Amino acid sequence: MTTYSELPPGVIVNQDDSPPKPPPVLTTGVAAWLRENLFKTPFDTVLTFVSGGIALSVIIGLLTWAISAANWFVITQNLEQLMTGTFPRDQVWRVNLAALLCAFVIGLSVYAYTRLTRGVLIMVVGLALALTLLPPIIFRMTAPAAALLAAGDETIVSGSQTETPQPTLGFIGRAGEVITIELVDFEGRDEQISALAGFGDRATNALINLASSRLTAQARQDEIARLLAGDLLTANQRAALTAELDRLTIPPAVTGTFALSQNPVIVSIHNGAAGGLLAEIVLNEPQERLELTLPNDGWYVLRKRVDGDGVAVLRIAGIAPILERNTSRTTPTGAVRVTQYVRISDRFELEAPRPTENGADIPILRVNDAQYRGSRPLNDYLRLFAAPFLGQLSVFIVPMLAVGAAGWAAGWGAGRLARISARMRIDPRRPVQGLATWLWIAYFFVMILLIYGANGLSAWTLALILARFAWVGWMFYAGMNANRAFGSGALAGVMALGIVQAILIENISLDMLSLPVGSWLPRVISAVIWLGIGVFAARRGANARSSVRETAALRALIGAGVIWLGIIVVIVLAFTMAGTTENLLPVTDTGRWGGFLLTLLLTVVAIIGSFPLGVLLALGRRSNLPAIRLTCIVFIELVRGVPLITVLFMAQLLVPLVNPALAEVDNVFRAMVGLTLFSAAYLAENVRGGLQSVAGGQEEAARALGLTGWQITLFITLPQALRAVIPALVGQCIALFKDTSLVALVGLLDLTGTSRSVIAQSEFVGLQNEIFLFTSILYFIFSYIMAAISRRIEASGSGAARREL
Amino acid sequence: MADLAVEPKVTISERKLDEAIIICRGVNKWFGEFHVLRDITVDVMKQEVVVVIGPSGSGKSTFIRCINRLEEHQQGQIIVDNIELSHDVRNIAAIRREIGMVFQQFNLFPHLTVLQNITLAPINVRGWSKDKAEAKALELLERVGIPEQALKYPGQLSGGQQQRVAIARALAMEPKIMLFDEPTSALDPEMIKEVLDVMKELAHSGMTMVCVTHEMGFAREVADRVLFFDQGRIVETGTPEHFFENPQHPRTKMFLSQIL
Repeated sequence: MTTYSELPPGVIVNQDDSPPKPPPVLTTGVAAWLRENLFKTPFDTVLTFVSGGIALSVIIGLLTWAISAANWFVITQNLEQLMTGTFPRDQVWRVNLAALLCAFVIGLSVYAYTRLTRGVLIMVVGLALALTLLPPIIFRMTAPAAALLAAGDETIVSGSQTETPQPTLGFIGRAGEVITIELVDFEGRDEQISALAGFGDRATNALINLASSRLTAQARQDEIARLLAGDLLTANQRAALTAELDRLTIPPAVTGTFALSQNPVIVSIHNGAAGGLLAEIVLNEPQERLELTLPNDGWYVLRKRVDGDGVAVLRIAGIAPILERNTSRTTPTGAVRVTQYVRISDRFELEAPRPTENGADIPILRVNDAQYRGSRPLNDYLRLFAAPFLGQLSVFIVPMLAVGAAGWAAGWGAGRLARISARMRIDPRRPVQGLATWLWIAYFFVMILLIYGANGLSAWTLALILARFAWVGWMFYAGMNANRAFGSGALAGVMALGIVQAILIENISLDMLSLPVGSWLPRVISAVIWLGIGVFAARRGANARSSVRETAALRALIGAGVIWLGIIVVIVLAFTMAGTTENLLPVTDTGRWGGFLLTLLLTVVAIIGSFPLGVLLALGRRSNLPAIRLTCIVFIELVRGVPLITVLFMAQLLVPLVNPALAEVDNVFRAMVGLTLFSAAYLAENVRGGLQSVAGGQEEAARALGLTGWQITLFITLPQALRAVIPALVGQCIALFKDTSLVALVGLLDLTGTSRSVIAQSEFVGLQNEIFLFTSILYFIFSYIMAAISRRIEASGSGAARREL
Repeated sequence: MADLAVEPKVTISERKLDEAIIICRGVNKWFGEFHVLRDITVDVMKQEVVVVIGPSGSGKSTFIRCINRLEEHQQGQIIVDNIELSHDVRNIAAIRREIGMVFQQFNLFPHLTVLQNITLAPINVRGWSKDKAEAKALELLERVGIPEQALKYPGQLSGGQQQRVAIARALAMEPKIMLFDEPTSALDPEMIKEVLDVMKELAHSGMTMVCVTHEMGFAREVADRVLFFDQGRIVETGTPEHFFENPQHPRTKMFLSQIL
């Protein structure tokens, strides 16, 4: 122990050696955040409560509506239509394949450009698990929604509606399902009737209406009596209320009138096709119930009659309304019209004909007649809507996630390979980024090919096309392994192969462009284009690596031939063995593109089309040549001065008037052109802003290095200009994505158009709230994804570092 | 840092300075009505280091920018490496390939890495392979003393490092002439030395250099000749010894009295 007695005066030594203390509770963590952000001042507190209250009431109101009142059948029944419109059902695999390929490239890009955080991983796995597991769990945990069916011989008159309970009812059942039938116990009270929840048949609905109107009248009578008993009324009011009271007639209790569920009911279930009796019971008391496990999938018939007078209401679990729809299907013998019956609760489809009795169809519970009545409990919401919808989503999203994961893994593998073959230690993501870019470019063409199709695309043609791509890839690789002298001899040899293929063998371009056979022009063009691509690839390759190899030329030549021939042989053989070699992808009618597919196609094509056009317009507007500058200015200002809807109408209506030949061009394509031109004008202005923001010294430095004007634009000015305006560009993409909904007004059935056409069907009339809420969410999700990607690009490490200068 | 321990390949005294590489004859230039260059007549020899000084607005920057035709002269002749600067685009391109330039504000390309900054022109103008260009770039980065910064972006470097990258970028084209336009004026004082060291090393290696600078110490140490510009004219020319110790023209005397 040191003594401090000898310290000089004025020196103070702090002997406190206590451990560090935690900060006050209210200054850290959640409490601090709340205090700082929500309740800092009295005004903040008031604002917090007011806005929180508004938000809460909106959310609660929306949720209550969504769970207890909204009719989501309009979504679950029309999801396919909303997604792909009327795309031919037997060709939908092409759309699905395109989506899966997209997921693959996305997965690869995710590896290349981002680092998966644990949060994202948990979210993805959680989503996949939830989508896979939740529907069966919900089905296990919840009871089927009840159908309410009336029995009896009495006529129920409610307002202008006259209904008699149906003695028979056809319904769809599946093997192993349990049908439970019991009498509804009303305890002699009408309140019990109006509190019923479930799919009511017409007679039950009439009963419910009767009971409700009686209860309403009763309530009014009670209220008037209460008012008259008080002394707050003027003489006039009193007289009016007395008169109303006199007019008010209270119908007798519904339960009494129809002796509801007071007499025994004889219920039997028969096999629909064979007609055999499966079960029969006389229900005397509400506690009694019939339970029957159905033996097979198919039609069943329910017979019910009241033994005596009156009406009874049966609560039946296991029967759901049926949607009847007519479709046509192409079969080897031609198109056949098929009537499909879809059980609405789980979208189980049946094509067997309806059961008949004495030559007439037995009535079924139709969707139109048997609307869900009453306030829906959570059980029914989960069972009827949540589980089937999640099931539908999982069929689509789980494979997408799986393929996305495969894409990620492929990216990882490619990165490892590149790292192994590289001479220095590199970030494995770098080469994968290049790969991702090329894959996206290739994906665009593959997607267009898949969805649009190509008539006469036989295995032979496909093989030729792929062989050509492989040939270009080989040129690149061969170029990489040769020095520039490679260009002289071997290049010519390899190029000869391209000429042979393009001119002598192919007829594809003729078929595709429907040009007369024997026409030479397209072949020559094709040859020139492919030679150009090949030479370009070889040069790029030669620029990338330049270790000189003497035998490289010969090897390149042999390699090109082997690969070219090999691919053709393998593909033709594969398709021959698969059995279809002709017309693999028939051209789809663009008129049948629809739903979200059309929305996405319009957006993607317009973005991709308008990007180069917009950049050219922006450059043209800064050109030194007055003719070019003026043309660009006139175009930009003209288009910007016109609303998009006008452009679309012009594309649809005016263009055919100007030149009748253009009327042949289909509507979807014309809408794409309209959107592209419109978007290009705005994009040009954004890009021009970016070009102006690039410092003048940049161009000067580039010129001093001897770069030419085009090189300066391509390598120096444009990259910086585009980087500067990423937020504006993405904003424009989002706007364009949403603006495509305007094509619904010119008769195209995109997501919005399909929604409008769905609610025009008699089964779904009046359900615009549900469907437009759904489409809004869909639009929002995709817009939000685009915005998130934009934020990522802006904040990406190199981007931030680059901007500092 | 440049390795100054290595013996310079050519010492200044060994150079012959007998062959002109830049020839200016009666060069005139106007900015609108303003006569910015008046009858400039001067030759720069191969391997010569010429320092241009003068008050601001005297036309010295404009003069060196005319040499690689970032500015166009309106009268007179400029012949660089036996090619006359004219409106012929091919001549301009040919000359720019042979002249490297370093700017006051560095003007590095912020969206490219240091390595890409340096290899861009050799690959696209000289047509070198990527391998060759990168090897050259790494060698130059070694020479200017920052080999470890190759994969960074310019925004991540200090001013002195950026200017050294700019010098490496100009050198990557293997130019015959280097133009420096106030290369140290935008730098913090402690970074000036590292850039000047690189320039000195370059001068000792026999590069033909024309430098606009306010670094009198540099001029005195390295220059073969000093040109003093004032109001668009070359007012006085001479060796550094003459120029700094025995200036003749009153404007030169005044300028030197103000800055020394």
